[in-house]
Amino acid sequence: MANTENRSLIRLKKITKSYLKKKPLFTDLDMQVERGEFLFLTGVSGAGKSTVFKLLLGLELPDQGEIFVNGAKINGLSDKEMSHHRLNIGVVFQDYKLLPLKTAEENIAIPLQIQGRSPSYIEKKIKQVAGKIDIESLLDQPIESLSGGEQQLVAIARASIHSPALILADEPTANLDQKMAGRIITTLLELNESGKTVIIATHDINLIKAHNKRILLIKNSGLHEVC
Amino acid sequence: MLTNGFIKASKNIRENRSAAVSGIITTSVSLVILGSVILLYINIIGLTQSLFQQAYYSIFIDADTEKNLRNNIVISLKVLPGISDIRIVRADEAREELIESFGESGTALKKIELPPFPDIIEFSLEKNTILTDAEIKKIRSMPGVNDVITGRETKEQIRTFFTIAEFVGFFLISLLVVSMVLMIHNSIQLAVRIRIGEIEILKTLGATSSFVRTPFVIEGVIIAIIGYLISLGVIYLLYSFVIAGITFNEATYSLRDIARFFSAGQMLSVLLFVGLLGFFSSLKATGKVLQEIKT
Ligand SMILES: Nc1ncnc2c1ncn2[C@@H]1O[C@H](COP(=O)(O)OP(=O)(O)OP(=O)(O)O)[C@@H](O)[C@H]1O
Ligand SMILES: [Mg+2]
Repeated sequence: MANTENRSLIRLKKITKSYLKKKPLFTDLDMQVERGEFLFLTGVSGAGKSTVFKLLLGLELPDQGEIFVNGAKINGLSDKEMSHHRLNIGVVFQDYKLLPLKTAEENIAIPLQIQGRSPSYIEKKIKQVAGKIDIESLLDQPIESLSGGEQQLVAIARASIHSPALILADEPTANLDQKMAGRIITTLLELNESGKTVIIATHDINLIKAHNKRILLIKNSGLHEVC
Repeated sequence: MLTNGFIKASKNIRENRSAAVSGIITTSVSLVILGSVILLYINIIGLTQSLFQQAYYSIFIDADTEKNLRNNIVISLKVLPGISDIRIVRADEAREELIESFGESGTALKKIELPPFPDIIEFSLEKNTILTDAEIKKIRSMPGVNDVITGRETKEQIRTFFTIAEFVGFFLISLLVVSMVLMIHNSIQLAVRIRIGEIEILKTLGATSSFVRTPFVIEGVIIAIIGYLISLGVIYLLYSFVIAGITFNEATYSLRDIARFFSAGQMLSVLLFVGLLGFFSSLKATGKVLQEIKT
């Protein structure tokens, strides 16, 4: 059993999920993602795109079914194991989840601090990532003083600084102008080229059409492959 | 991990200044109130005890006692444990004293024929020593002694009174301690709770519970200790002010030697207690928040 699970990076098996007393968001949802893939997860607003990400992170638990990431079943992990699991995933949240009073640099450093890296290592890594995404000038600014697009870039830097195997980006281009959206997608594509698996949740049809990648659609409580 | 936590904690305090400052203010104000009341209490108890706790005795000498017999009595008194301050009051002095104590109306008293006064030997014993019945009997049986009057009964009454007063004071201070501890506890908890969003984000990004807890716990201890040090400074200032007032006034000058501040041991134990209070308050608060977000 472990073997089949090990082969794919992500495997959701017969997931049923409902919030409180609402009708189930998913019933018997299956999903499989291989290492190194770049794919779009789409569906109407409220379909459950963000919920899939939360399930993968262990922030929400399924009512039924099993979730495997990197071969490990993620329901019932201990505090330490959950920490390890989450550090293996870089997430750009729909609402960024940046600490507004801290500077961009301090926010980007968080995953490395959790890993217990030395300050000099952290400094080196931040310079490297900031250079790649071109946000050096933002580093010493508090998050609350940055624009939405700039915050999005900081969130991407934080999601990738510790080289996680998987990157989840939830609506990374919403509310951004064409140029900024392009810059963000380019960054995510580059991360994918460097070997990371990238999943983008979006309902931006134009964005999906512009790239010839795998598309997963959440509809009628299930997941559908779009060709 | 600990130094890292310390750096982060001081950074957190700077970022969330209002929560930390209100925690420090609550802590120090609580401790100033509590500390002042306790200091006042200790000093009032100490003062009254030192004033009332001496036992006074008066030995009445037969009117026709010879001088060397009287000296014998004094010599035998000198070997008593805890004896201090033996004073011989001659009959005519005693009479003068009595008349003087009546003030204006004393002049009228002068004209009245008073019964002859015996000579009196007065003496007192230091704190916490009382003559036993056997010892008093022995003095009473000495040649030339007419009677011995002891201040013991009054002393016993005063002692009972102070035992009750001490108990009531202790009870009130205990209540005050409980309410102050709760206040400090709550304000430190609040400093953690206010950052529930931050804790949630850290957990979401993969922080372990102990990674989240460490800086908060250190911060709680820092808040408590700074609050303590400020309160100690304020209380000491108040104390010095009162002492200066006492010294300035001739009537109260002698109280200067009786007045007491907290001992080093007391201050250290309170420091330890307050530090632990900060530690456990923030530990509990962080634990509760981690339970609540449950991610
Ligand atoms: N914590 C929650 N408690 C209750 N209901 C929730 C919760 N989170 C999400 N939901 C509900 O679940 C449904 C799916 O939410 P989700 O955020 O996954 O959708 P989404 O596809 O990401 O939508 P959008 O495109 O607007 O971001 C919505 O109807 C939402 O109201
Ligand atoms: Mg969403």
